[in-house]
Amino acid sequence: MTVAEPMPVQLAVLTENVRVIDYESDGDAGIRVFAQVTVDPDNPAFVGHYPGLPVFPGVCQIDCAHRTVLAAARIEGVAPRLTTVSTARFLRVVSPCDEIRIETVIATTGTEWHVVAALCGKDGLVARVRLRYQLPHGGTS
Amino acid sequence: MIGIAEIMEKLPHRCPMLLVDQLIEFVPGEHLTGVKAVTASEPWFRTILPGEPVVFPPGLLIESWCQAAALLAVWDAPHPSVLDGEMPLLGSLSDVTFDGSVEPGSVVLHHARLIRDFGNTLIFRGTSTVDDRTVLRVGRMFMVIRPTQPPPEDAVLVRGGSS
Repeated sequence: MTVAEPMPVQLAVLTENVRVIDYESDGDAGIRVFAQVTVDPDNPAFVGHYPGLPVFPGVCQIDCAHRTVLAAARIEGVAPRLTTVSTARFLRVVSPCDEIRIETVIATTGTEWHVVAALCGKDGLVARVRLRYQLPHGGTS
Repeated sequence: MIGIAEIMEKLPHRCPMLLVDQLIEFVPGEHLTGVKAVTASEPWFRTILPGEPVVFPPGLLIESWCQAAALLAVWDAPHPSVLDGEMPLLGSLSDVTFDGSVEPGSVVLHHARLIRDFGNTLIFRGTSTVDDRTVLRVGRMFMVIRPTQPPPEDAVLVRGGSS
């Protein structure tokens, strides 16, 4: 399935409006979600992280990946719960107004979602995140 | 007990991203216990939508734990401002598990231990608890101290910032 128009995800408490630009679900093979975010210079995090030299916190980058997964969950009609950040590696500093592309692959096991997300900026990969989610009893709907 | 004034002399983070309030146990170079009191007036709770759970964002719980751990790294070489030439950055995380949610009104205790110190790269692990209930486990956190460049003249001004 392809989403023709960018679909805003509900405003996150930490990050920006993550826009889903493409979505593919292939049954048992998994789900691929492509999203974009423009780092809002008015994000409250920048006031204190850091004064005079704003840096988008690494945990906000994890949150971008998390919000992309939640967007897929809405489309799939499930409510997965984030249980584990298996790994998160931060390779480049992200600044206000940066554009980040989020490429997410979700492997579904029936009771869990295993997520690999690559966050890319204009100069290349900025972070790679692996997340694990528990699905409510009964698995995917 | 080490209070917020002394913590602000060590870390460059400022409100609302200064997420550790006190240290109640501190053994330099080894381990500490930090305190974060979560209140509903924090900005993260302003945009909660009807039906969404009112919980402290998991990402911020990690950030709060990391800031407590960072105090072990910067205590003898404080970084109260990133404009001084260096800043602590989160390099990587692994095996971080969320064992429970944290709601406004909770007092979170962050238990952090320094595992290895390579100078500008440090490795930590630990847990966070609320009322003796474990809410977060951090298997490993790499923190790096990086040199900073002054912002360019055309840098985007951030509301409340001093750039």
